[in-house]
This record gives sequence, structure tokens and C-alpha cells, in this order.
Amino acid sequence: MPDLVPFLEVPDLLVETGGDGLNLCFGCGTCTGLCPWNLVRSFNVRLLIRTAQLGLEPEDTADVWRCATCGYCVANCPREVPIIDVMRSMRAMTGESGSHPQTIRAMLASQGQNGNPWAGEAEARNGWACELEMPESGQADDWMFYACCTQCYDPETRRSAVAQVRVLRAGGVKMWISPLESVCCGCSVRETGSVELTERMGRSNVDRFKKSGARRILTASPHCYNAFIKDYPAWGGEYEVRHYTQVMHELLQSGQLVPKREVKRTVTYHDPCYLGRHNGIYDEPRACIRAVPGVELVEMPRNREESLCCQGGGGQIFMDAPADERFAKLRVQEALDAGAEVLLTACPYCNSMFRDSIKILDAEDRLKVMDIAELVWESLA
Amino acid sequence: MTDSKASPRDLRIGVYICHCGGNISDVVDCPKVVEAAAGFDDVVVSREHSFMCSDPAQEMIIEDIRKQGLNRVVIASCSPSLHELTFRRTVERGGLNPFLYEHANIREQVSWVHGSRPEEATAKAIRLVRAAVGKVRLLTAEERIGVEVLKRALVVGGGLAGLRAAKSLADQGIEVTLVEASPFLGGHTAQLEHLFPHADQARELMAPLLRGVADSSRIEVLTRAKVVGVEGYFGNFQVELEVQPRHIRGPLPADKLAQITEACPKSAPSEFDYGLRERKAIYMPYPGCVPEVPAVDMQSCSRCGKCEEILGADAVDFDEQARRVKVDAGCVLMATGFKPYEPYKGELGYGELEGVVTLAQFIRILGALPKDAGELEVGGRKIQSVALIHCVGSREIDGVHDPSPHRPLRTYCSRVCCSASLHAASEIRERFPGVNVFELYRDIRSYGFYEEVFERASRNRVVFLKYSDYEIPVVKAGNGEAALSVVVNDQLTGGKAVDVPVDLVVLASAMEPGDAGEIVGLMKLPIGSDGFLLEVHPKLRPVELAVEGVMVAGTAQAPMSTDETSAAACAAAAKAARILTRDEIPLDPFVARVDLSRCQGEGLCVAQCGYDGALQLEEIEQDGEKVKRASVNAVLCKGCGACVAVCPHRAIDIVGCTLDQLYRQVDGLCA
Repeated sequence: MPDLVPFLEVPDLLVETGGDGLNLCFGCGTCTGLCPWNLVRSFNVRLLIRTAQLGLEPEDTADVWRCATCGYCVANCPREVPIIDVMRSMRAMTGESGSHPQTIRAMLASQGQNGNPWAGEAEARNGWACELEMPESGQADDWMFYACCTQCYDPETRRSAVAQVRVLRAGGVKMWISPLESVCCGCSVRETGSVELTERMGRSNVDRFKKSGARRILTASPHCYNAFIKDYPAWGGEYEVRHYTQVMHELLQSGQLVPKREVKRTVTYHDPCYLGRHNGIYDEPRACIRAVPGVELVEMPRNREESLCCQGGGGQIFMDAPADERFAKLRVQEALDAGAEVLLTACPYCNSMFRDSIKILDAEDRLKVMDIAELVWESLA
Repeated sequence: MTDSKASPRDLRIGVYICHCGGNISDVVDCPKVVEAAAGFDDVVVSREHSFMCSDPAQEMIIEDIRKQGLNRVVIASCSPSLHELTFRRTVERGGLNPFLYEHANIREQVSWVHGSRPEEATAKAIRLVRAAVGKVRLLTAEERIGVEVLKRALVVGGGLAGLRAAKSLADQGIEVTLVEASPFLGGHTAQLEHLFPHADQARELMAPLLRGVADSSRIEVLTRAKVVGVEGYFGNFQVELEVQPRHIRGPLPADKLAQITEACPKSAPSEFDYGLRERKAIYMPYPGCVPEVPAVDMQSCSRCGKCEEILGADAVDFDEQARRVKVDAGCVLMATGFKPYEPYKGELGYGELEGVVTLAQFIRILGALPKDAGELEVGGRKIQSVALIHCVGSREIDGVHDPSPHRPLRTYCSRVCCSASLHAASEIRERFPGVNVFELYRDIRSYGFYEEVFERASRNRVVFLKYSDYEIPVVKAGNGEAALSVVVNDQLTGGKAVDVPVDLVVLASAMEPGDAGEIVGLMKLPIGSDGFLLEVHPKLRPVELAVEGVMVAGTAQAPMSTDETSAAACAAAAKAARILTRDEIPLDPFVARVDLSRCQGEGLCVAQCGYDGALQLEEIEQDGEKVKRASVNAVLCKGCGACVAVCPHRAIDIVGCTLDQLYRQVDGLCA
């Protein structure tokens, strides 16, 4: 085999495109040891970062597209290497030569064309809310409710959006629905390395939101929450952004929402990566669950900072991993082992991923996936 | 001392058994030892304590001496090297002569080595205590030996350590003679540029120190000088120096200096630049060096007289001869430094391939570049990528590194090369951002606060490649684009061979022991297996050599950074000052003593004595007759006992260890 020759133009470019910190890695391998991929198949994160440092070809180019951006490695990296940023830059570089995986290419095409990743018609975006009769504008202090594309176009997940709006309304929150012309927050575009499209979509949203007068945004998905907070300010989109669990928690605390009906169920809560590790929100969702009378909350062994990713982030939800390579399947099993009847979450991706895996495990009669808002609504309605 | 005449008839012995916080008592049944000791003849107090070295325990002993009228004390505890002195002082504070004390070691000699057999360990502890009690019965009150101190220090070596130590001593009011083998002060530190971790300029840091030494009225500086003879002992050394001539009398005005340097037709490789450049036969290594007088290298000088024409006949003397100088000193500080290891020809391409230099040379190259140089240029070549290879000549492994024919294996870590390489790597990246830098390392050992040097190099996007202990990288000529190619089985890339094309290879070569000169043999200074001077004990007696009155400062002892060297030099100076600020030094009295009533003056002991001047025959008058009798120099005698063994008349003994005392000890062991 010929010797490998470093090609430092590659890391130079990776650093330039957001992978600054790549050289901090000293190769300890904590990332590989922690990465959930290694629960289902081998994925040497350390070696991939190493090939990036030297500008070498990865042994398996598919590895570039594997990261679910769960952030477990980043949170534990002793050198604080921004591994996700490096992965994203590698994807950008690989993508520039047009070598996206087929599924990602399809997703990106839909984003560019329809403004959502699910090949849904743009006009159908707000169809999920038809029964709610939400206004299309409001007072300056009112909230703009921004549903996730997955809720908009996945019939099973849309129920969670409806429940979220119902619960928040019951607590007296005034809100209007995000404009029909809104597009995806861009998280999956960004995580798969399409820098320009991410910015184009972001700026388009900033425009639309401005026209609709939005100053405060309530998001259903932790991914949208993350994008609005971290990406949008650079494009002039400065908002007060909240994830719905935060507002719901405030309403329960202040007594504006009082769940009365007893819900006799054993539940467990899955921390979505973008709510937990990425944004440090662990307690509010749990407080919302505990506020429901009759509910018994059991924890899975991996919880909070150590939560096991559902594999929905970083574009993975579109990649359709083979059944035996799904983290969600492991997670569903953990929920079952913990004795839960309901697997609660607060993210549309997790919601969708778990539903699929429950089907794969043929566990529909033993475990149900619900959004926290659905549980709370059951106790209110 | 009230007890000094205590005869064996009115002995009152106190025995104290230490638990050492479980170190002893977890194995040895201490109450049983206490009980046994209480039964030995003349033992009036027998006690135990969890820590005998603690203040309350010492107070207890002092109170026993006073209230119980003890006149002998035995303590069974740890090794005497740890606490014998502590306990002698305790006894002294109680009003007893400190030499009426005997120590039994029941930790290192009992509990630590017989942990699995507690009953037998306890029996052994009892035997050792019985032996100590047997011996203590015959101990006599002694006085410490007083040594007069000559109030001058001899500092050997004019590098950073020697300068720092000399200045530190002079600041404390002590006279110093500073001896430097080369013509100029400053040592290897003066050859450095930006020091890690904070990039201070080495010669700027050195300047006030050099100035301070040169201007000090208490420091006599002798360059081109070496020690050729040593006599005397601790506190009282007579040292003979040989001082080679400088041939030039100075100081010279700057313009004259420039003129002679210009005019001199002969040159030789510059020591200051590690042979990268030439210097003239009459030279000064760098502006502002000390002494500010050029030196003439007579090996390359042709005596053409051009310098004489410029300076005048008074200033130049080609026939100046070496002279001998005698120095009386109470202490000697060894600051003889290190030698940068020069790789052998062919080692990683050194000496064979163009563009392979040592880190020491590379620092000179960086130093010679104009401050605003836009490009890294070496030997007229533009450098676009550099590989720095760590551990060259350090941490060598038998079977991997070939010890012959080049040299013995150097198994130690040179400690500074990691930080120095990383620092140089950062300097390249910061000054010449277009230059790629690769560090080929085995382990990054930028220890302690130098972690920031590694951090900075990482942030400067230096690329690290890790080679295993058993696969040394290969440096070869490049093929086309770059001048050189370094092939390394990179442990971070699964051990695969990575071929790094580079224009320059920098070898972070080891620090070797410096040439300390004849003084090592003359004073029998101990050298460790790695060739550096060996201190007595890193914790108990740091920077002291086993030869009393001799301290070691800086890299003569081990590889050190400039920070550590400065600290070590100050420590050595402090240790020396402790001696030199006293009129007399008290030494333990454990030396040979002659019983004149028995000595016949046969001199068997003198022939056997291994310490020059410690024992000799002296003519004295005895009963009106002139006779020869053995006489001990208490300062030079080490108390080894060789004389005792050969004396046919039992006329000589070691104080505190007499034959009778030893017999009692043996009786105690065998009873």
C-alpha cells in the first residue's frame, strides 16, 4: 500500500468553514467510545477527525454522513473539539462535489423546492392547524407558534402540534400561526453541510417573520429552537425564542394551567439531544410531566446529559438506517425495560423515530409514544 | 550535661515504640514490643505512640527525660535517615546529650518487609529494640565536631545556573569566585532566543544577570579557567585553577572591535551558532556579551598581527601564558551544565541530507532572521513545511536504538525538548503562517504549566504525528516537490505509514551531561548512571552532593528548563549560604578516635584508610619520649571503620559505633 501523504489544504478549508478547533484533537478516542453508532455498528469518530486533520480520504466515505449531531462526544471531549462543526464542514466539502447520499440529496431538493424536507406542498404547511382556527397575526407581545415541518407533513406527529397549541391556549397564551410562506428552520440543511441553502432559507424566514410582526417565537421542536437562537441572529433575526415545554412549565408553575384529571400511567421521558445536551433544558419537561396527577415518571438508565440519541438529528432521520442499526430501537427497549407504558418526548424527530422502532419491535400494544403536551392535554381535557 | 558521667550502674533508659499511623502497628504488635522492652535491664519507661515524630509525642519524651530522670533514650520507628536527627534534637531539648540516643528501625526493616508474617515481625522488632537498648547502655556523651568555614564560594560554570547562584550568593554578602571554561559567560542560555513558555528574549533576560555578575565587587570572574587541583575539606577547600590566556586586554571601543573583526583573516566554525556560521579567530559571540573583551582562538590565529596594528601592542599579547590561581573556598557549587547532543552522521538524515538541523541550530537560524522576515529561509532555500522530531537521543530503548558504535544508550527524558519544540512550532506558525509544521512525537511531555505551550501549538494548527517507541521515523531525500520526506508510522492513523513531504527537518536532540572537568575526579563527586551529577536525595537533601560542602546547580544535575535551572541555582546558593554565613559548622562526631594508651604507632590503620588526609601518623611526646601515633582529622574521616578492623591493639574505634557497643548490639540480637 502506498504511504499516505497529508494534504493540508483540506483541513485548512475545514477550519475556514467552521471546523476551527480541529487541530485540538489529540486522538484520545473518547468520542468513538461514546458515540451511539458503536452500539449498533462500528463508527470510528476519532479516526474520521484524524483523517480530517491530515486531509486524507476517509476509509469509508459513508462515515462522513453518519453523525447524528447528538453532541454526546462534544459534551465529553477533553479537548473541546467542536466535532459536530468539523463533521458539518466535512459534509459541506463532500457535498460540494455532489456526492451526497441519495436520501440527503432528495431531502435537500425538497427543501430548495418546497421549503420543507418531506416533499410536502408548501401550501399545505399550515394544514395541521385547520381545526384550531389560529389567527395569522397578533399583538406585538403575542407569540408566533412555529410548528416543525415533520408535524406539518407527518400525519402521526401532527397530533403533537395540535396538543401543544391546545395546552398553551388553555393556559392563556396568545399566539398566532407562523405564515404559510415560512420555510423549514433549516436545521437539517445546515447539519448536512449545505451552507448557502441554509442561509437562503434562514433569510427568507427572517423576512416572512418580520412581515408577520414576530418578536416572540414559540417552537414545537428543539431543532427549530436551536436554529432560531444560534443561527438566525446572524441574518438579522433577533427574537425571544422559547421551546413550548419552557412556557408550559411557567404556566403550570404560576397556576394558569392546572391538570386535574388523573392519568394512571407509568411513563418515561426521553431527553431530545437538541433540548438537553445542546441547550441544557432538562428540568422543565420533567416538571411538566410530574404536574399531571396519577402519572408515575420512571427514568431510563441513560438520561439527561447522558441521554441516548434517537438518531433523528444531523439528517439521519432522512437516511433511513437499516432496522438493526437504529438507536431508537435500543431506546424503545430501554423504555420497555424501565417498565414504562408511555415513552414521552418533546421533539417531533424523536416522536417519529420512536414510532417507527416500536413498529419494528412489534411493541405497539406495550408502549406508546406521546409528546408531553399530549399527556398534559389528556389531564386537562 | 548532667548525665555525661552516667555509669552502667545508674542507667535510666526510656524506650519509645512508634506506630507510624499504622505503617508499623498494622503488622507489629506494638503493645507487645512495649511490654518486652519494659522488661529489659534498666528500662524505666516504655511507651508507644501513633506518631512519635509528632509534637505531642516529642513533648512526652522530653517530659519523661525531665521527670523520670532518663539518661538514655531508644526510639523504634522509621528509618534513621528520616527521623534520627529529629529525635536527637528532642533528646537535646530534654536536656540530654543528643548522642545518648539510639534508633531502631522497625518500619523499613520490619513492618514493610514482613507484612505477611506479623508474629515473626513482632519478634524481630523486639530483637531490634533489645539490640538498641544493649548498645545505648554503652553510648557516651559526645560533642559535635566544629569546622571553621572559609567565607568564599567557588562556582564552577558560568552559564545560567552559575551566574544565578553567584549573584544570589554575592547578594547575601558572600565572596564568590566564578570559573568558566569558555571565554564568555552565559552558557547555552545565551544561545537561545525566545524562551518557552512566554517567549521572553533569552539574552535580554540574561543581560541584567550578566551585568550584575560583572559589576559585583564580591564576584571574581575567571574565564577560560578550569579546576586542576583540590585539597582540603568541607568548609575549607583549597582549589587550584588553570586560567588560559585571552591574549587581548580590554575593554575595547565598539569601532575598534568592528575593525579587528573585519581585519582578522582567519576563521573557524562559530561555537555560538553551533557551527552554522564562521567566526573570526579574534571574536565575540554576540554584542553585549560578558566579558566585553574579545578572545583570541590561538588554534586558528596565524599571528598575522592585524589586530595588533589596530589595537596597539599594549592591548595584544600573543605570548601570554596560562597561569595558575589558588582559591580558598568553604563551598563548591557545581554549575557545569549540559551539552546539546549532536546526532551522529546519518541519524535521521543529520549530516547527510541538506535541511536536517538540530533544534539548537534551528533556534540560531530563527534568531538570525530579520524580525520582519516575510519568509522562512534556511540556507537560501524557502521553507514551506517543517517537521520537528522529538526524542532524538532521549528515552532510547535497547534493541531499538543502536548504542554502538556511536555512544551508550541514553534512556532518560531530556524534559525540555517537548516544550521547546512546541514553542518553536508556534513561533514558525505565528511568524510564517503559510508554513506547515508537523510535530513527530512519542509522548507530549510539556509537563506542569508548560501545558499552555502544547495548547498554543494546537491552536496554531501544528499537525501532530505520533510514532511508537519501537518505530523511529525515517528521514530521506524528497521526490520532487519537497526537499525531504519523513515517513512515520502514525499511531493516530492506525499505525499506517504517513509520508510527510517537508523542506526542513528539526531534530529535538537530547541534553547530555556537560563536561564537568577534572574536579569530578579530584573531589570524587558522584555521577549517576546517566552521567549527570547525582544529588544525595531529591527530597531529603536536594541539590547537595554526597561530598560535603559541594552543591549542584542546574543542568549539571539533570535536564532542566531555564525556569527550573534558576530555581535550582537559587536553592544551591541558599544551601551554600547556610554554610558560608556561619563561623563554624557542627559535624556529627561519628569518626575514628585513637586510644593513645593502646596505639603503638604501627600505622596499619593509616595504610588501610581510604580518605586522603583522614588518618596519619603524627610524632608526639609520650612519657618524655618522641613516638609516632595515629592521628585522626575529624573532618576528613568518614567513620567507615576500616582502621578499626586492622588495628591489632584495639587502639582505634568509631565514636558512636565502638566495638564494645557493637558487641552489645549483637548480644541483643542473638539473645
